[in-house]
Amino acid sequence: MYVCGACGREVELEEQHVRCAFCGYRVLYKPRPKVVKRVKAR
Amino acid sequence: MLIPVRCFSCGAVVADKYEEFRRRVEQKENPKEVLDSLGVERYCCRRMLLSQGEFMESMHAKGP
Amino acid sequence: MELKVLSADDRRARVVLSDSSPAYANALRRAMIAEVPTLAIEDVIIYENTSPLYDEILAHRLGLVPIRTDLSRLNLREECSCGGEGCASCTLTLSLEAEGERMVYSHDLRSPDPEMTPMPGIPIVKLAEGQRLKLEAEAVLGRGREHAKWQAAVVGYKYYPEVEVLESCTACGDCVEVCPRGIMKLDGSRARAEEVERCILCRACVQECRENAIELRASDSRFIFTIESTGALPPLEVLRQACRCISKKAERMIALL
Repeated sequence: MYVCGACGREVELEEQHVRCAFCGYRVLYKPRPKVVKRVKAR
Repeated sequence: MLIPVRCFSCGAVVADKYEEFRRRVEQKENPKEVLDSLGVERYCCRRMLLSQGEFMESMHAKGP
Repeated sequence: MELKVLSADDRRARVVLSDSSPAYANALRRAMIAEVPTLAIEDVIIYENTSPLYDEILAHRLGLVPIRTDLSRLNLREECSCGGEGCASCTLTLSLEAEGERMVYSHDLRSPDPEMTPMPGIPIVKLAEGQRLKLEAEAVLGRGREHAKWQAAVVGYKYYPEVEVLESCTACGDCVEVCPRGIMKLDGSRARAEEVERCILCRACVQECRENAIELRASDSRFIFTIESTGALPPLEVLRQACRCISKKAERMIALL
């Protein structure tokens, strides 16, 4: 699952192209997964 | 970007004084006097506040 | 040995140590900086972070925030009865939840203990509209020698200045003129130094004096300490704890002999 860089909608990756299915924009962002992360404060 | 929490050289906390420092300098107070009245004595801590550049807003994503 | 407190409040103190030696003064200074235990955030559990900062940078900033420490109620993790696993008597768990648009401050960290709270007013991160931050932070006791976030105080000392004005002084006033700290005063037919603690041993008065009537020495048995607390412990408590650390080390030494 990706987020379109232009219209902001959630899109699945198509087989042939890296492209938003709704607006055709070709910059997609990978949103942060909903996992709990533990980091050292150093 | 954001004011460092502590002075790089000596480890004293400087971040808690930053907002007052900035506000008073913007009101045309002399930075030297502001630093003196905030009790920032050493030149290592003084440069932390004096050389701070503010561009946090530009880090905020401009996307949808 | 003698100790005199010149001034002390909750952030900084000036103390004169007399009848001592440079080695002892330096041992004290180093113990205050590197050996006194204080609280600092060590682990950060991040549930949500859509702020502009990476988790690691955020955690690093949180780690540097001083937390007011009650040493009588917490153990060092490695000395705790839980065996270093982390329990309520060696860990303080703080929580933070915020949503933009606003600046997140250190005092937004909620502490379960009103006696042990983070120092207020430190900007952590600025959130834009809709950005969210939700995390838990585990603070533990540690020492400055392991990481600067546990440093209890910024400490320095200087040799006590001894200004002697000889009989040959003509009260010309040149030293009064040239002293950058303004401690030389004219007193009848002689110059005299007032508040010598403020002297920075710059020797300007010695060089300026035409009669060579001023002698300036740095005592190697008296020291002026400046203790500036980072906020975890009051400065005089830092000194007290440093002495305790040194004596504990000495006792361990005796046990080995």
